[in-house]
Order: sequence, then structure tokens, then C-alpha cells
Amino acid sequence: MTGNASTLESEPVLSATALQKAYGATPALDGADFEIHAGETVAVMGPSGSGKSTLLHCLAGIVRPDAGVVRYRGQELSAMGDAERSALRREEFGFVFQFGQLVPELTCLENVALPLRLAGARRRDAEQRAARWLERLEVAELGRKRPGEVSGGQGQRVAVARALVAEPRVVFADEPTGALDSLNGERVMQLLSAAARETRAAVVLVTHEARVAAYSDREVVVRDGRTRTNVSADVR
Amino acid sequence: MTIGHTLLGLLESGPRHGYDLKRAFDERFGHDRPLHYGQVYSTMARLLKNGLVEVDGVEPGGGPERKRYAITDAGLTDVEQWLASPEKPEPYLHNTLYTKVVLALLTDRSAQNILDTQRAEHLRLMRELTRRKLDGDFADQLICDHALFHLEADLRWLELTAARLDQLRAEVTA
Amino acid sequence: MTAATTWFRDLRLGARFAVSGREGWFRTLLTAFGVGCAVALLMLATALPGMMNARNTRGAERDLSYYGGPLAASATTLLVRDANTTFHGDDVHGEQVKPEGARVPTPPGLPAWPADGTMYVSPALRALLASPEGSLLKQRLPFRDVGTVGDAGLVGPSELAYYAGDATLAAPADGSHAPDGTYRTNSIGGRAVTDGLSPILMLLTVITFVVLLVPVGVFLATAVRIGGERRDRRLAALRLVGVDIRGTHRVAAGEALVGAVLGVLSGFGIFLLARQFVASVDLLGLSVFPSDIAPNAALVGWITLVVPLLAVAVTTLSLRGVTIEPLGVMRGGAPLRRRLWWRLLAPAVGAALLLSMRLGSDFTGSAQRQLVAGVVLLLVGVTMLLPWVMERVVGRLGGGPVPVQLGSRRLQLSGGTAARAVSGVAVAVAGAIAVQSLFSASSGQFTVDTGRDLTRAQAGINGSVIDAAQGAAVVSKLRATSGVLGATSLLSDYTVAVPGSDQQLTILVGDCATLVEYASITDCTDSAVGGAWLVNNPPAGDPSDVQQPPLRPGERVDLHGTDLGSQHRLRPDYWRIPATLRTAAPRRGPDGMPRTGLFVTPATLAPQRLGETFLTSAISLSSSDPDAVERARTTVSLAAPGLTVDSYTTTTTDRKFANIQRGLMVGAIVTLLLIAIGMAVSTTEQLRERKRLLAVLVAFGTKRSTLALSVLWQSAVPVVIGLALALVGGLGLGALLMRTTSSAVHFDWGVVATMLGAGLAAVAVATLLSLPALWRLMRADGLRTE
Repeated sequence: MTGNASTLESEPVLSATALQKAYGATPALDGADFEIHAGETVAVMGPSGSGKSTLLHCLAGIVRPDAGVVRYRGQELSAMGDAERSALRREEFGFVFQFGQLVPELTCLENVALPLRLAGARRRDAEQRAARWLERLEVAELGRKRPGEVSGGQGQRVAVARALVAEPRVVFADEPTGALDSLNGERVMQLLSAAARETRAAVVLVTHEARVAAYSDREVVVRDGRTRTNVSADVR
Repeated sequence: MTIGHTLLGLLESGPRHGYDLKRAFDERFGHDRPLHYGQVYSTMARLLKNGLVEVDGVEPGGGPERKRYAITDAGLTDVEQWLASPEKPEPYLHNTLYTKVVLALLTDRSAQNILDTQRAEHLRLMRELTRRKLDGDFADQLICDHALFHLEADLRWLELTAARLDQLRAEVTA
Repeated sequence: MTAATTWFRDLRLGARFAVSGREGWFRTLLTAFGVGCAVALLMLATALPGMMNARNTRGAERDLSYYGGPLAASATTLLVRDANTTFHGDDVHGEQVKPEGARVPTPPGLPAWPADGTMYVSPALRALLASPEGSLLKQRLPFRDVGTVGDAGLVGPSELAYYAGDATLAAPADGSHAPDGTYRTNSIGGRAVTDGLSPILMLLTVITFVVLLVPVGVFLATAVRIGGERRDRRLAALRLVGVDIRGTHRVAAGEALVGAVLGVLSGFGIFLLARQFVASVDLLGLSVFPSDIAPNAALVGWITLVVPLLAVAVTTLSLRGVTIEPLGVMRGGAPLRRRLWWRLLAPAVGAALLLSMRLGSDFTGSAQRQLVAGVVLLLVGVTMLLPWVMERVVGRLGGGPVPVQLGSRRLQLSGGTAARAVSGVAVAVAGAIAVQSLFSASSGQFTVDTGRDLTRAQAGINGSVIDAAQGAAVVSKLRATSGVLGATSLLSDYTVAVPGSDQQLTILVGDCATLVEYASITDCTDSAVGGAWLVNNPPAGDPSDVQQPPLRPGERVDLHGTDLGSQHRLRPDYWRIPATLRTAAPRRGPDGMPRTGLFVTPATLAPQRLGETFLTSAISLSSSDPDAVERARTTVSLAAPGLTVDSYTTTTTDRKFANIQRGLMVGAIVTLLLIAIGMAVSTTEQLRERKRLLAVLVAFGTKRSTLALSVLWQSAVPVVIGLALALVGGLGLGALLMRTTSSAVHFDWGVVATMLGAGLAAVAVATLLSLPALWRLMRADGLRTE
């Protein structure tokens, strides 16, 4: 892969300016800016409690910022109602979390098919596509198992498959390897970035691990609720 | 260049005698390896030749150690550039980085920026290594991973230092 | 360390968990609340017999009735006229009195005998009289309020009662009873005479108790399991630091024990609160003094002991299927397929017990035990079958839209929890269906068709009057009363002596308009002398089937004949039967009674000549005036104290039967409410345990409606299965019980549907109560927990 500058579109697919968000009296975001282009992977780094996850939640329209603007493909995400944002999350976004994200009652295959079904796909079609994604993430044999019966690394691959199955424009990954060992973490990141590259999905990757962040094209550091963007400097 | 930049940085807060410079350097960065007078003298001579410092005055009694040095505009620019540019990620980097951070704290520059810049540089290299790893054969992967883990350790140190800047500032400026 | 100290240590550790942190307290309080409600209900149940007894005793202790022979006036005799009345459906207990001596003891609660024109009233009656609604009643009781009838003289706090002094009471001529209802008594306060319940009523009572208490027991077992999953994770953490499996069971027991003990304590509290509350409400016409609700001490002792033990037992049993390892919890490993045969054991034995018994002439001891055991086993069998049936049905689900898939899969994985949640409702509904069916099957024995024709009259008088003049006065005043459209006036004497016959003749005097209401007479003229019709062929089998002696025109009869065997004799007054005597066919009066006797017009026989005079009046009332009947009562009460006006209904139900049925209704409502609360609590608890998953699903963009529907499906499927099983079980139990009581097996589907509906309503209430929690948990910031 060579420099990203040539592949970037002029308009970011998702951007945020001056985000503020407080939970009760505790400020979680205090003037955060962000932008990401299609096909780009941006790592959001920072110490724990710095507001990384809150930034991700605001960007994904899961929570609404108290102030500031989130734009997704020209629309003001932060101004949309809950139903609209939900529809967007369902149809345009994919999610991977650290743990506890697979529905324990559903089989792995059904879990992967879930986003498609939520978006209205027929069960058979959804499960066929889901099976293809499981295969791609090297866990095709897990289809009939329940999440409780698979290992952490396998479960996380299933989760990645689920995040990508609907071919979202933006994938939000919140510490996707946080609960995994190095080897499994590496593999999950390799699979995630390869798949994202192929589908030209933008990936917002929240992590505190440098080796995971190294899979990104650039990083954004969040500290005390504020972002510091360092376009990787070739200034020498 | 590191000693030269450090001494330049120390001059930023005002003209000093060579002897003062040595003492200030030893206090903050010397720890187990204090500077020799000779090192100070030769470094200052080189800086003087390059126009980065000038002689501000000479104490009566003569001798090079009695000269008072002041930083020039060119010298200021040089310190500025030195602080702003990341170090090439390599082992035992922390000596230089530590010096830079302390100097930044002493001269009221943003130490945070230094750390962030360095972190970006580290990550840039890590990204490169990651790419090389993904494209390379198994041996490449192992070699890259070795480097990656070391860089990651540095990065963790950067993180930790960033989180402790307030404490360091209090200590340095005390 | 000895075994005992290990036990103690582990129990204490568990107890500490129960009260540590907000989470621990929350869970413990939920359990305590659930257990408390159930304990309070159980205590109330143990108090019921004592409560009914206390009411009966006080009712008897104030009784003035005299059953002996003629009495002479003395220092301890009292003249009394029972002056009970009814006001807007509420009974008013009233006595009008005149002490004949100075040493007449007063009944409990009455400070002194009231002087003429004054009265002592119960607090509830005073409040009613003082309110605007009571103004009609105030006119009926023209006495000055001089004091209060104390609680000792009342059966319940909201009883309406009064004692009034009336100097006009005249001593009965025969020393016993006067025609206006006055009697002489020296018996102040009788014994509590409770004629025992008939076997079938006894059976109904026992079964009512059983079907109401079994669900409470099931509910108790559910309440002590609240928060189980979270607890299991905590136990896993304990395993990690070296506690063995038995140890974890002890810790869990300690935790459950705290909840149960707090539950018992809060049960006492809830009971005391409810007792105070009960005093201020009038539930289906039953008001009770708090002091009358005294739980049976021995039974309360048992409850205090058994509930914590039950909690420990249930906890230990529920842990049997769970493997708690240091690194996590396995629920049953590979899920075992539930076996059917042993689940069928309980209902089979129950059915056998019921099949082998038949209700005989009495219902006591071993028969009672057999019945209770049979019913309990059958009902418990329903709860045991439920998980099996659930597994079979739910195993086939899984297709369909996302909410259905999510809900079904959840049920497949944790069908046991779902089955437990609805087992209370299932048992309650099954029991209620069975008992209500039994009630409706046997109601024929306890409900009497009065035959009253409400299209002809809506109220009526039937009672003795001093003489014809008083009777005429009552009717004419009635006719002048606002809201009264008309009133018949039939004056009769049942004791006319016919020479040469040992049967007595009934003579009924009334104007033509009245007579045609009570006999099929077509040719009546008010002014014509000689109008006389003999009706003497009553419908066979009718309770009023009284044969009249044969009569010949011109025959002489004695109008002053008296009751056979009566000591009191009047001078004979002879009257000759008119030569124009005709016969007529009987006709049911508006009061539903066909009458036999000699019907005559006043022109033929002046009613003043009758000896003992009864007044029968059918009153038609303006349907648009709900106060009309109360005005009629007031008019009658003032014109002839002691005469009462009955509101007509088409059927009457045996009072005891009605009471038991009423008790069942009240109990069923309370039980279902309790179960609804329990379901809401456990649903909320389950949702809380899934907080993170819900948040993730919302982050995914899952619609709230999708999640809400899946929760609904997840609770609706078990409910439908539970109710279906309840229907089968209830009908089966009902049929068995009907067979036991030798009633024809017949179901009132309306009642069955009502019970199913009540079960559904309970679940709907529970779902509604847990919705706020769901809505709160679906806010996506649930992701922000780590």
C-alpha cells in the first residue's frame, strides 16, 4: 500500500467538529474533532477514560453529543431522530466491540445474519451471505455453534463477520482485540483490515494498543476529551 | 548534536557562564555522567562558530570559562526545530526524549507536543513494519514483529510519560 | 476447622453478599418484597377462620332473640322490635327497644338503653346519616343520636347499626310476640350458633383455600431465585479463590437465607399494614376490624420456620443443574432432555386420589386430607409438566421475523426460567378454572329461582300488621310516595276455622285491581257484594302448595280462628260464605307465589273483621328513580315499624355459598396481583442481566420495537403454553371434583374464559410494569459500563 493521499476523496465520509458530551457532571468529550474518508482506517487512541469510546458512540450516532456536529455523507447525524439514526446504524454502519456482543441464544451463523435480517433480508439469503463471511474469516465450521461454545478469538472473528456482512460504509471497532492474546488479536486485525480494504469501508478503530493502531492509516489521540490529530509527519 | 541542543536550550532562559551551563546540565540531565569542562568548551566553540550563540560578555580574569554566552536567533530556531522533530525510533531513545521533554518544560514549550510528535513517528514506523510484515514472508514477519514489540514498549513509555507530565513539571521547575 | 464452623463461615459469607453494594441490596430487597407479599398473604389466610369466628361471636353476643315460652314483665325484661332495614343495598342492623325494668343488662357495645326517641348508632351509620346521601335514611330513623355503639357490638367497622328507644312498644297480648313484631325478651346476648357448613360447602371452602395458596407457594419458590444468574457468576469467583462446590452451595444458601428472613420480616410488616388498610376498605361488602385479623400463632411460627428453609432448599436444588467452575458457570452442560414420566407422577397420583373418593354425608378428617392432597398434587403437577411441555413446543419455534427468532432462541436456551415465571399464573388459573367450574356446577343447589316477575313489581311487602286499618294506611301512604307507581293491597288471614274440618281456610281481601294480580279472576266488580272466588288447585310441587278445606256456599266460618295449638284465643266471629261463591284458577303474584284460598272483595267482607292480618303489597317503582325504593322503605317504616320492603330479584343465592364464592373472587384477584408483581420483578431482573447485550443490539440499529416485540414474544409464548396447560389441568381437576361431588360434569365456558382472561391480564400487567425497565435499558449508553 502506498500513501493514502491519492485514494482519499475530497469529502470525508464521516466528520465531527467540536463535540461535547457529558455524563452527569463528568465531561467525556470536550471539543473533539474527527474526520475519516472512505477506505480509510483511523485509529482513535488515548489513555482509558479519555473519551475514546464516547467519541465512537457519538460518531456512530449511538449517543447524541451535547454540542457539536457529526456529519455523515453530508447529512447532519447529530440532528437526526432516534429512528433515523437507528436505521443508519442498521444499514450503513457495522460494529465490533470488545466482548459481550454476540447474542448468546443465537447460533454464530444467525448472529452474523442478524444485521441483514434487521435490514429486512429474507432468512435464507441472509444466512447464505453470513456463511460466506464466516468462511472468509476462517470460522466457517462454527456456523451451528452458539457463542458460548466458541473461543474468544473465534467469537471475535464471528463478530467481525457480523460487522462486515452488510458491507457497511463505516465500521466502528471498539477495542476489537482487547480481550484477545497477541496472536489472535493480530489475526483478527489482519482479517478486519483486509476485509475493510476490499469493501472500501472506513474503519474507526478505538484501541489503546499501538500494534493494533499500526493497522490504521493514521491515528487520532484523545486526551481529556479533546482530540489531537497528527497527520503522520514526514517532516524531517 | 544532542549536547549542543541541550546547552542551547538551557541558554534560552538567559545568558550564562560556561560554568553555570555545566552545572545546570549536570543538575537536570547529568545524573551518572556529568559533563567535562572541555566538552562544554568545545561545544560552545562549535556553536559560536556556527552562529548559534554569541559572547554576551567576559568576566575580568580572562579564560574561556569566564565568557558569558547568549543564544542567537539562529540558535533559537535550531532549538525549536530540534524539539519539534521526532527522533528516529531506536533503542535507548529515552535519553534524548527525556532531555527534550525537560527542556520543553523549562522553556515553557509544550512537552505534550513533543511526545505526540514522537508517538506519531513511532506509529508511522510501526505502520510501515506492519505493512512489510503483511506483504513479506514468515521470516520477515518474525523480524518485523520483534521491532514492533520494541516500538510498542517505547510507545507505552511515551504514553506513561505523557500521563505524568504534570508531576515532571513540578519536579523540574522546583 | 470443624464442619459446623465451616458451615457458619460460608453462610455468613453468603449473608454478606446479600447486603453488600447497591446491586446486592437491590436483589435482596426484591426477594424480600416478593417473599414478604407471599408471607403476608399466607398470614392473612391463617387469620381468616379466626376472623369469621370473631364476627359470628359478636353477632351472637348482641342477639336479643327469645326462644322460650311466654314471659311476664319483670325488672329484667325488655320489649324489642327488630327494625333491620336496607339502604341502597347495605344492611342496617336495628333494634327498637323499651326496657320494662331497671335491671335489663345491655348487650356489648351499648352503653345504656336509649330513652324514648333517642338512639345509639354505629360510627359508620352516624357518618352516613350526616352525609347528603344519608338524608333519606335519616327520615326513616326519626331518633335523636345520643351515643355510639362501640366496636364490641358491631361485626365490622363499617357496619350500619342502631338501637332506638320507642316508648310506644306495646307488650304482646300473649306475652310472646305481637303482630307488629314486638316481642318480650330476657335473653340479652345469645350463644354463637353457627350451623356448620354442608359437606359440599366445606369442600368448596377447602378447595378455595388450596387453589389460592398453591400459587402463593409456587410464587415463593420463584421469588427466592431472583438474581440467580448473577449470583452464579459471583460463586464462580469464589471457586477461584478456593471455595469448593459444597461451599458455594452453602454461600448461596446463606444469601438466600437473608432474603427469606428479610422477606418473612417484611411479610409481618406488610401484613400489619394490610390489616390497617383492610379496616378502611369494604371489599365486596365485607368490612373487618384489624383486631379480628389475628393470624394463627402456631401457623405463623411454621411460616417463619418453613419459608427460610424452603428458600435454602430451592436454592440448593436449583444449583444442582449448574456447574460452577472457577472460570465460569455451565448451565447443565449439554442440556438434558427433560423426561416426562416422573413429571406425570404427581398429577397421576393426584387424580387417583380424587378418583377414589366420593363426597358422602360428611366431609372431615381423612376425606379432607385426601382431597387436599389430590388437588395439591394435581396443581403441582401442572407446574412440573410445564417445563416439559414448554421444551417440546419451543423446540419447534425459531423461524419467522427477527423478534420471533430472538425470543424463541432465548426460550430454547432458558425455557426453565420462562416456565418458572409463568408457573404461578398457570397454577392459579388452573385452580380457579377448576373451582369456578365446581361453583357453577353446584350453584344450582344454592341458587333459587324466586319466580318474581319484575315486569309487574320491583319491590314488595309481606308481613303481619296490627289490623286492616294499619295495612290500608301503609298502602295508601305508599301510593302517595314519590317514585311509587302503584301498590297492591292484599290483606289476608291464614287461620280461618272451618267447622268440621281440621284444615284452616285462607281468606284474602283486596280490591279487584289487586285480586286479579293473585288469581285468575275476570268478573270482579269492586262495588258488588258477594264477590268470592275459591282458588284451590295450586300447581303441583309448588312450595306454596297449601290445600284449602272444602267449602260450600252459605257455610259459616270463624274469622277468629287461631293457629293450631296457640294458647291465645279470641271470641269467635262468624261469617257466612256468599252464595255467589265461584272457583278460579291460581295465578302467580308479582312475588312469584301462587296463592290458594278464598279471594273476596272488601264489599263482600270488610277486612277489619279479619283476625290475624297479613299485608301483601307488590310495589311498582319508577325505573328512572333509583331512590324510589328507599322512599318506599321510609314510608313503610314510619307507617308500620317492623314491616320491611324487599327489593325483588329473580334469583337468590345461598348466603354461605355466595360468601365462599366472594372469598374465591377476592382471593383470586389478590393472588393474581401478587403473581403479576412477581413476574414484573423477575422480568426486570432478567432484563438487567442482559443490559449490555441490549445496548449492543441498539448500537447495531435494532429498532426498539423489534426488541420490545421479542421480549413480548418471549413472555407471551410461555404464557400461552402455561394457560393452555392451565386450561387442560383446570378442566381435568374441575371434572374430577364434579365427579367427587356427584355433580354432572358441565363447564361454564364464560367462567373459564374469564379466568383465562384474568391470567392474561395478570401477565399484561406484569409486562407493562417491566416496560419502563426495558425502555431504560435500551438507551445505548448501556455500552458505557466498563
